[in-house]
Amino acid sequence: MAEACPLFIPVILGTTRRGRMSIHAASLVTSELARRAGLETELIDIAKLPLPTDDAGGAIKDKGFAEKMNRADALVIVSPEYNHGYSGLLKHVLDSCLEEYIHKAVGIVGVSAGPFGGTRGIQNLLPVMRELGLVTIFWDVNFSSVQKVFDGSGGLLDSSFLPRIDKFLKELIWMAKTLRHGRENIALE
Amino acid sequence: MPGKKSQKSRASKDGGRSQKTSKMICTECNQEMNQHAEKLVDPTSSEEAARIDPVLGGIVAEVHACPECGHSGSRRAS
Ligand SMILES: Cc1cc2nc3c(=O)[nH]c(=O)nc-3n(C[C@H](O)[C@H](O)[C@H](O)COP(=O)(O)O)c2cc1C
Ligand SMILES: [Zn+2]
Repeated sequence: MAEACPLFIPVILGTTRRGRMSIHAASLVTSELARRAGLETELIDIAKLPLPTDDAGGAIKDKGFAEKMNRADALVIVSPEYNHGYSGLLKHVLDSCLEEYIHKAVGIVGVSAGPFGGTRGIQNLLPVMRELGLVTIFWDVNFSSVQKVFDGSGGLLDSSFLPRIDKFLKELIWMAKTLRHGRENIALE
Repeated sequence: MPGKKSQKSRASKDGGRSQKTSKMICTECNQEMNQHAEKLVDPTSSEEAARIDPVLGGIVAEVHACPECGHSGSRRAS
C-alpha cells in the first residue's frame, strides 16, 4: 500500500463496568496516538458494541467491529485487571474475529487499583494474542493505583506516564509498519 | 517452474494441504492479493469438524492482504 496511506491503530477499551477507570487510560492513549502524523485512531468501547452472550465466536461477529479489525494495522488493548485476569467480556469480543487480526501488531495497557498495573492480566492475555495471530510488542503501559493517576474527570495527575506511552507507541508503530509491509509484500513460501 | 498440471498432482498427493495456486482478488480494488499466512483454526460445528486436516489437526485458513489498498481477506484452504 502506498506509504502515504495512514496507519489505522484503534484502541479497544476492554470493560463494560459502570464507573470504570480504564476509560481514562484509553482516552489518554487515544489522544496520544491522535497527535501523531501518519496515523488514524479511534476509541472502540466494547460497552457500545452489540454483545450477545447467548453465543460466542464468529457467530456474534459485529460487522462494524470486524471491519475495523480488518482495516487495523495494530491494536491497543486497554485491559483492566479483574481477579488477576483480564475481563471476560473483552475476551468475548476478541473471540468474535480471527483472520482479521493475523500478522497485526498489538500493545497492551494494563489498569489496576492495586500495585501491579494490570501485569497479571496482561500476562494471561499474551497467549490469547498469540492464538489470535496478533504480534505482541515488548512495551506495555501499566497504570497501577489508577485512582491516583487520574482525577475524577480523567485529568492526568502523573505526567511520568507520557514518556512511557511515547516509548510504547513508538515500538507499536514500528511493528505496525513492518507487519504491514510483510502482509502486503512478502508471500508465504 | 512446475506447470499447472504438476501443481495439481502435488496438491492431491499431500491431501490438498499445499497453497491454493489461484491468487485472491481484493474485493475493494480488484488487485491480486498477497498470501502472507496460513493459520490453523479449530472447528465450531460438526460440518467443519468433518473437514479437519488429519495431519495438522485443524482447518487451515489462508490469509491474504492487498498490496494496493491494504484490505485483508481469508479463505479456507480445504
Ligand atoms: C471483578 C473485579 C476484580 C478486580 N480484581 C482486581 C485485581 O485482581 N487486582 C487489582 O489490582 N485490582 C482489581 N480490581 C480493581 C480494578 O483493577 C480497578 O477497578 C481498576 O480501576 C481497573 O478496572 P476498571 O476499569 O473497571 O475500573 C478488580 C475490580 C473488579 C470489578
Ligand atoms: Zn485492494
